Amino acid sequence: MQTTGFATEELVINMGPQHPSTHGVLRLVLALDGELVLECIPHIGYLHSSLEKICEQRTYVQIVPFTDRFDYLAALANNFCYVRAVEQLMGVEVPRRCEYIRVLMAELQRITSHLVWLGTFGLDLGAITLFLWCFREREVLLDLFESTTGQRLLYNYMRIGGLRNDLAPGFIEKARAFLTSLPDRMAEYDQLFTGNRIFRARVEGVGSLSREKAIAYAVTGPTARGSGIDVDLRKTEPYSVYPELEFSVPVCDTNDCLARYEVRLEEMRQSRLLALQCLDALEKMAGEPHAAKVPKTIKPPAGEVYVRVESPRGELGCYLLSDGSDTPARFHWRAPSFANLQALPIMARGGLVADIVAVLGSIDIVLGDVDR
Amino acid sequence: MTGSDAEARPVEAEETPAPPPEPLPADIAEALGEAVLESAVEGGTVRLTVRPEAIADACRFLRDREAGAYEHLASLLGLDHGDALGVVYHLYQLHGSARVVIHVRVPRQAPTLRSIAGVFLAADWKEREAAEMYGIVFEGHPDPRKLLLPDEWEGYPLRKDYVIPEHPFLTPDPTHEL
Amino acid sequence: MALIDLPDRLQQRIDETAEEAVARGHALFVKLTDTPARRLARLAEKLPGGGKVVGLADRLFNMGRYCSLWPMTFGLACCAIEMMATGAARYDLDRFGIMFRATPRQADAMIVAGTVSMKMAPVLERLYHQMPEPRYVLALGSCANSGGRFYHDAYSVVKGVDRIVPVDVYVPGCPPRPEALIEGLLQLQQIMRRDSIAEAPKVHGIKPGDPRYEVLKRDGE
Repeated sequence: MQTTGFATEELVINMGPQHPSTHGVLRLVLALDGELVLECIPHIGYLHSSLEKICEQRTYVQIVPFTDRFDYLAALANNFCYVRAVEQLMGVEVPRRCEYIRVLMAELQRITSHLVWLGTFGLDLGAITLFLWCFREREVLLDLFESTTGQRLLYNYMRIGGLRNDLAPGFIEKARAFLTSLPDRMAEYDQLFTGNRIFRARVEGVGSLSREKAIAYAVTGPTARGSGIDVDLRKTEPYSVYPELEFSVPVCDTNDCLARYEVRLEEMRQSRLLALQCLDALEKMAGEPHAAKVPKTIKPPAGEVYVRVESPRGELGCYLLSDGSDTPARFHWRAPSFANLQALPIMARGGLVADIVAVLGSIDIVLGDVDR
Repeated sequence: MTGSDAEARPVEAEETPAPPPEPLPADIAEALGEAVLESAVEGGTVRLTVRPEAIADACRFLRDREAGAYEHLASLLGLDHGDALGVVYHLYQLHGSARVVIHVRVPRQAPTLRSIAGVFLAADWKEREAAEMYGIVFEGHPDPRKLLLPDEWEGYPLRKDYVIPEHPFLTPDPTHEL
Repeated sequence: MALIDLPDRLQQRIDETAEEAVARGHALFVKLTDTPARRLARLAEKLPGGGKVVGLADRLFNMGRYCSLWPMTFGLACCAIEMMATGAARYDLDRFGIMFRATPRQADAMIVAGTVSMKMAPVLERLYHQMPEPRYVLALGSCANSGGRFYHDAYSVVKGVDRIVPVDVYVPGCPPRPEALIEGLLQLQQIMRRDSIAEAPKVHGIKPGDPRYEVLKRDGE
């Protein structure tokens, strides 16, 4: 690249699997020309936990806590996808209160997950204050989850046919109080971070992913919406009670890290609106059942089903093949991070080494999903 | 619907005649022709069973189809049917829920089929995973290395007859009573 | 240091000889280096009044170590998120002097937070060897303790990180609450308090004769 007469060589270095900025155990082999990235090859599988094999040897009810741990930042979204898949196989309809609580939990989980994304994105780029602020907000939400589900991170809350238990008393008031305070907090983040010159220099124009490539790589979620693909499963293939709720889906077509950042921030605001609508609806439905009656042994009729939901990371799909027994013949998890990570090399090529960290942060992967 | 399994299955089998099966869309039937072994259409879902050697062309047609392109490869997974291995493809249109579910069966002794990595870039990693887990060979795949498993792993873990190897890291402690 | 009577079935495992363990396929080779400073301290202990000096030096060094315990970030899976939450605003770890270092070369302890897969095992062992002594390992969560939910039917998960490296503190939970992690770190501080510069170096997680690990010493020690 230079013309100074120095002999230069391509350098191949290894990033990970233990690295503070790879969001888990991801190994990247980088071919560099100085600081320019010529090639970036992800090596995954360092967290491969043979979950699909394990779930094929567990009953349908026993699989629910395993699903929490695929995408451990959005455990309730995983639960949601799986129980919907089994309910579709069995033809079970859940009560409306249950649907509203599920959507409420999914949206609060979206806010929690995006707070972790935002905090770690800032941490990777050097803004440690943002990390502390986001986790401070998140703790309030985790207290809410803990009051109802008993757990802070991996809830095992949804059941086939409904929920484990109804909302804790006082949940609605506390949730509303938090959601009312959220816009002020997000204004603080904006003030600290969004207009910050250093931040802008690190994410504007960095890691571009064209619309055609995003479709070809089956990239979904905010990563795709930052490349102009206006697909959100809550709108394009609505499920549960989303058709009755009003919200908008942010799409940005500048294709860079900043686009994905803006999309996720706006998604947090929209999730807040969705959660408030759910809370209003739930107040009117007090006393209704939170679960349908299902048989003690879940034995769906033979058949296959593929159900997808919009998790904070993208299209989360669960494929189940039932042979009529109480364990699935095939259980497959379509992980959004798996497909999104595949597009990393084309976003990283041609950029600088430091940009890889920004790009990886903006894709928002969870290695539990990638490796399963 | 609440109640036992018996009620979960459709009740109208005795009461009303089942609706007549919907035909395969004409352009799909014409383009795929003999490659389709079985087909079923239900609402927006087209279920096909396709010959292994014709899968790449079928996917290419569906991706570029004028009357509604199935551009999104949502999922590609391997299966162990017991007597044969299989691959399942889920192709969706970008907007909405219209989809094509394609099943391919390959014999256990010679599990080979065409790779669709040239048609959908997303199939690259998904096929690598199915290959290492089931031993299915995707002809024409640009990079058929192991993806999730260590390079020196032997055996195909997701097959039904797989036995977990003996290794001091893996074997549950024999002194533990269960 | 056996603090409890072990039931027979566990005693069998520990009484297994080193040869049987190696025949089983694995023993971690831990090489401990006796430094001139330690030999000097042992010499000083024998002098009149030397015991008090060495004791004071011990307390000073140990306090320096446990008051600024720098763990290596080894977050693998879900427990890493709780570890991050413990280091964040509400359950601040910085007030204990705990600061996460990404490189093993500057770390005192390794907090193994998450599931160790077969592909990750050699990496973990290498990182353990890259840490300078004195080093400690804290196993966070059930996956690191024993394999956790992957104990049965998993072909790719190591059944507990203590099959690879000697562990000093086990913190149970799935994931453990931040308070549990803090308790584990405080326990680790108690272990660090018991070190002495006058002793031959030892690894706390290894009982003498433990067949899982073979401790190599330099010639002449």
